[in-house]
Amino acid sequence: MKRILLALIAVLAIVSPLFANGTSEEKAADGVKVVTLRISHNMDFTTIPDAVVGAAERLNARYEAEGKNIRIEFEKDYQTIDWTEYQNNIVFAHKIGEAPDFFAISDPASLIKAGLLLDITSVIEKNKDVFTMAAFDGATVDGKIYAYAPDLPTRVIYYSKDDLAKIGWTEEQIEALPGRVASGEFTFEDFIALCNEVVAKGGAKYGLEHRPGKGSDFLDIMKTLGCEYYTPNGDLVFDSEGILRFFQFTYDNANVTKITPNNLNQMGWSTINLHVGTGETFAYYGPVYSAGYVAGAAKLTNAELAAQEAFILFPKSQYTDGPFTVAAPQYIGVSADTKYPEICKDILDELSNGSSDLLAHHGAKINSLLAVKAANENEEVLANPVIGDITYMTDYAVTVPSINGLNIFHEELFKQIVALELGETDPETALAALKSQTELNIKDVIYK
Amino acid sequence: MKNTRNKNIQGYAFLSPFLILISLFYIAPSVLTIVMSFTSLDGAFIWEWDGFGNYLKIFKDPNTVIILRNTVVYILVTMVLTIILDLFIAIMTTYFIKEEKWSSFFKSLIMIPMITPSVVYSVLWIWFLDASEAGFINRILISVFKGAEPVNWIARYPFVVIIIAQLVVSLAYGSIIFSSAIKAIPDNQFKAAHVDGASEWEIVKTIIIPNISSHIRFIAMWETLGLMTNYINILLLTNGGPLNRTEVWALSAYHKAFVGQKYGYGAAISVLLILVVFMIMLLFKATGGIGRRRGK
Amino acid sequence: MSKNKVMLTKRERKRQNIAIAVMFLFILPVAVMFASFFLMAFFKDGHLSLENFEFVIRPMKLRDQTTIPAIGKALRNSVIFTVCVTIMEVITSLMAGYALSRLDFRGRKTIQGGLLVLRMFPTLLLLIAVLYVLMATKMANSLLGVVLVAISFRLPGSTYIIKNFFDGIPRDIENSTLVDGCTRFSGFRQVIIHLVKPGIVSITVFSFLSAWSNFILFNTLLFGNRTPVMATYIRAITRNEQMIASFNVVAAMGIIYMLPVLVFFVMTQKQLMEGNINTSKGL
Repeated sequence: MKRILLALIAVLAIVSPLFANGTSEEKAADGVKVVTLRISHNMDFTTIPDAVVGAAERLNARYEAEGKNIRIEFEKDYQTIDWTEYQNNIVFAHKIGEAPDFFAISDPASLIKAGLLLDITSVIEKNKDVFTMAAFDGATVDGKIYAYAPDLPTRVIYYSKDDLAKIGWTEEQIEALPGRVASGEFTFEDFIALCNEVVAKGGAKYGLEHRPGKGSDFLDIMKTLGCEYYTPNGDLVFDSEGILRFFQFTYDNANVTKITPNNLNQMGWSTINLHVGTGETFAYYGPVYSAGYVAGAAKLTNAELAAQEAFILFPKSQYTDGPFTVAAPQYIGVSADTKYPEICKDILDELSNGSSDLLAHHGAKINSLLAVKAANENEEVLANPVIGDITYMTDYAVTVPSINGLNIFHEELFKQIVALELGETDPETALAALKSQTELNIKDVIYK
Repeated sequence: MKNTRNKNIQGYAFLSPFLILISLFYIAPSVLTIVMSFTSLDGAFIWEWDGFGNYLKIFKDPNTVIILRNTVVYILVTMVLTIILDLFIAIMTTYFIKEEKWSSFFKSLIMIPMITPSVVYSVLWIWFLDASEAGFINRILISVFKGAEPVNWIARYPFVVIIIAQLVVSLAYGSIIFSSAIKAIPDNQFKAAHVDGASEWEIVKTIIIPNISSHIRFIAMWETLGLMTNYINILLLTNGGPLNRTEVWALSAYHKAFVGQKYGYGAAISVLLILVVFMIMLLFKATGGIGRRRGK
Repeated sequence: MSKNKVMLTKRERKRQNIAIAVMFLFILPVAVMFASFFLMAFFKDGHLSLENFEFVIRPMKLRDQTTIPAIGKALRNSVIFTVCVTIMEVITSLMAGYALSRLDFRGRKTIQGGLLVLRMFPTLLLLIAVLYVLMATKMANSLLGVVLVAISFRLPGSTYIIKNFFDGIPRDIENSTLVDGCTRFSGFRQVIIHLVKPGIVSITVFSFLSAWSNFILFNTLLFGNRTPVMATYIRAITRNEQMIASFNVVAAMGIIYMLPVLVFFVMTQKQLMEGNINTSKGL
């Protein structure tokens, strides 16, 4: 028995260092105080946390020049898991006092409500001339800003120029389309008719595709169809009429006009990206940064993709006043529990000013505009063939506030979209089901 | 007197690691789950008493009926099919195939899905039934029937898919137990039947099945409990969808808690299921359990 | 049916051959499915290649934005986890099984009865509360916490098996050592351990297999990626709507993941079968 116990203790002793949790302990090394911060990130776009880490390195140099004996070091934890699971992890990590100092955010509203985000209003206000301030709307509650917007990607509609050429459009007509959409002359109804026409004339196999998972893109189409799903102060609005219109639209596309494949949601991203990249589908709606994935799937360079694919605003429809694009940054937050709030703020300050080239690098890499205005002038960004053409869209950009319960709404909405496209439910049933789930699971919703 | 105390100390010394772990990870969580089910605990982690609010919500939710129906159908169909196939395999490998090397060869093959980690197993099915032309089944379909459209198997027949996928992993356990039980049937019973000129079907019906009936009952209960509470394969394969077509009770508890952050609500769903589990265990006990030491 | 080599009559041999053929047909679909999936690992763009295994030796770029780390760390964590769980589970259940089978103490009957309920308890439904317990005991988000939970969830089952093995050993053997003046512990060690070897082997096998393929505990009880294991490593690139890697790469990962299991399986399949049988005994 003793021997077994000894063996057990020995095993535990050997592996115990592996169980130890990384802590942000400070160690004194030759008089310099080392501050270890932890940064966590989910999914792709690791250029965001890398920019933060890069800014901190430059801040170190500045601290040294100023004679402050502080050196910042970073411990990275990059994951690729479901966003809901990721955000759960962040919440739980806060509960046990092991929260990372910086982390990625998918749903700012719930984190703000839970009090997990540091109020960084002071940094942002201080730099208010540096930023396109609207970028922070989604993380602002009661006038306080709780998250940092490293970029300002817009969500748009993609269409294939090649497919239009195939059905006999001239070069001039094709190039003029984005302008006609922006002026409001070419409406959403016209565009859907065009999707049908392209398929009918053999320009493409499918007319309109979208992402295969839950996401905000669907809300943009809802908005285009005149469904305002939020109030300016962040309450969710359940507009039955508007949602029904969106459900009917979704159902018809997949089952009546069949411009959307009805099994779209069971396809992987790579299949859909390939459809877009090869022009197998004429149009697609989603964030402009998806262009990078599209190019990757079709084995094209960004420049080659830009030559065959164009981007337009969500057009004006008979229910709306004009075209728009939604700008939705991928926020990063600072933990309310961080031991070094001032240092974290210093890093964000550095990132917004001296180190904005790191953000520019991020933007150029993922095909997104930036919240820091100066970074949009950076040559790396200007040289990007995808975003170079769409800078005009900033004039049409709207931002969405932080909305309570949106996450659950997304979840239920997407379930209904899947079933509608498969033809397993009809728009009225879907609306009723969505309404009863919303009533049961989300508080403070305004019903219309 | 002292002796008794010594014995107690001795007993609990041996049991202490066991008891500590059990109280930490069974008893405490059970109590917590019950308490939690009466609160509106959510992502903000505030324990707020909510009475029977969560339970009322379960009854009000129109999805509850669908989930309940799914759960019952899923368990019954999978359980019955598992038992039938288990019997088939056991009879084949024990009664008909008498050479040990063949019978253990087949039994080993059947165990492979069981030992395949679920993370890999689910991808295997997703690939096998992929909706595009690249899926294995669709490739066969298209090469056999020229011009056939690829079928979106998982979305169109999600329920069949999860049942078959679960069936394939469930087979090993029951068939091994049945086959050991069949082995234990005295040889002369079969000999007598053969002398009487009984057909194979009659032998199965009148000798094999009655002899192992307690094992069948055990497997029926075991599979029922397993299917009722183990949702991992469904989670990885269809995640309950499309819509709620493959959402089962245990999975909905997971979804409510870990996806919707409604911890109290999830706990209430769990509590109801745990009650059902206890009822099934009692029912099994009451019907006499399994014959002791029949196996050897 | 006797176990030793039976002389089969002509009729029996014929029946057996038919049965073998039927079983082959029965197993064929699943066998083809498994075989063709794993074969895919060795093909890239239609050519025989080992490129899909790149992640074994170095980080592998899956697409423009996505590079996965080499598998080494996940593999190491999985091994450590499995070894810890297996060793600790065996020791704990041996001690508990011994006490429940051999020692006389107050409350023994209650615990024995409780064991029956516990081994069928729907543990997965307690995950939220378990997470709370881990938080309260400061073990959340650590491999140690997951190890303990993994052991606990299987403990009633293995204790039950071991107890049955102890029950099957005649009391005399043990009594003689106790008379010789040995303590309970040395009696436990010297005699019993040797005698219940088959029992130990069988719970070791089960414990190993379940620990190695565990996924849900890592998914829910660890909050970061500092301790990746094989299951989370593969899951990260195969989530439902986001199949990032090609199936070929996943198949290659599946092979690396399954290899230890298969080796272990081939070595211990006899015990595995016996173990399966033992779990159902005496209920």
